[in-house]
Amino acid sequence: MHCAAGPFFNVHLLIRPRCPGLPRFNNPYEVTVPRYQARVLVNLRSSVLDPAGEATRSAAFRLGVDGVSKLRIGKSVELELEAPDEDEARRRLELLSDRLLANPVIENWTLELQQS
Amino acid sequence: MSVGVVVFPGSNCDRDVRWASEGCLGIPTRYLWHEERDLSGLDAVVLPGGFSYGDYLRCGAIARFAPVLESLVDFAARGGRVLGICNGFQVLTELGLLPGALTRNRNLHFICEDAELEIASVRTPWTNAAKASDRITLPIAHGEGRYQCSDETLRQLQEDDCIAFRYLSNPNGSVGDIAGITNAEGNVLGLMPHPERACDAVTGGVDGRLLIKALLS
Repeated sequence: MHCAAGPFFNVHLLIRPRCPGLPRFNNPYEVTVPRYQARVLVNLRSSVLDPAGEATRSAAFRLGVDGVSKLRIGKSVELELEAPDEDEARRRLELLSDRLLANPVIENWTLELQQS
Repeated sequence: MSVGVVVFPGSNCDRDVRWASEGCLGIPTRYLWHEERDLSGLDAVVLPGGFSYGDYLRCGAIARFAPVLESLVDFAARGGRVLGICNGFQVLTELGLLPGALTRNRNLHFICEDAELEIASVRTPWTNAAKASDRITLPIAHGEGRYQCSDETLRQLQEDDCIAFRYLSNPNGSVGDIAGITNAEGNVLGLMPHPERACDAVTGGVDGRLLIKALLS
């Protein structure tokens, strides 16, 4: 009996189709998907008051560090992602930054992207 | 005639809202788990206060993607009444149903006190049972309630008569002393103060009944 499907003992021998691009062990069709590293910096817009930044600035003064005339706090989001090419990676990251990581009403963002 | 109260992981005023609507005012109310999509049979939906999804990233930023809110956008577009209280207001701005954003209080404190409000507009069903410039007292409890929007948006809000409530003594630094706004159509209201905590006389006032009653008026 060499039937691949059905209630037989040799079910585990069932040959699965190998998919190109799927990083499976011994997959002759495997292709390497480029990986990218990215950092999205999210900052409050300059018109928006940053009370936490102001509090930190006054703490800098209490520490004895003079001359800090501006201190604003933002977020840094580090990401790794797989994408077919850099343009596509950038497109996905821009969507992500604009729709989720930053709120354009109060925040700006910048994107740093490099292939790893 | 019934009201739905959305329950996100991290909501903590959902039961207060139900007590106010059902317990104090006899309005049939059911909870809507954040993964539900079925809003059939509801006349109004409340987004309650709390810390939806831990308020990670920004207040309301993750909640915006909850399945129940996809249905809520259609519900609001069909004219269904939506009331966002505190964290619910933050979710409505993140969702884009209301303009602007809510940011960290100017003094960095979590403010928990009674706030006196002026009813700034009686255009919508939310407040048309009151008189313009009537004053009510509702409790506030928030760390990020400073309403922020561009000058252009503020002008638009004023032109469309969308500013529903203003603080008499601005506690958090909101632009224009804004405590609550509606959309232009008037069916969506978001506010930082908690009307549901001012419906039962034992909690120190019943001024909030105005808004809870308006869910079905």
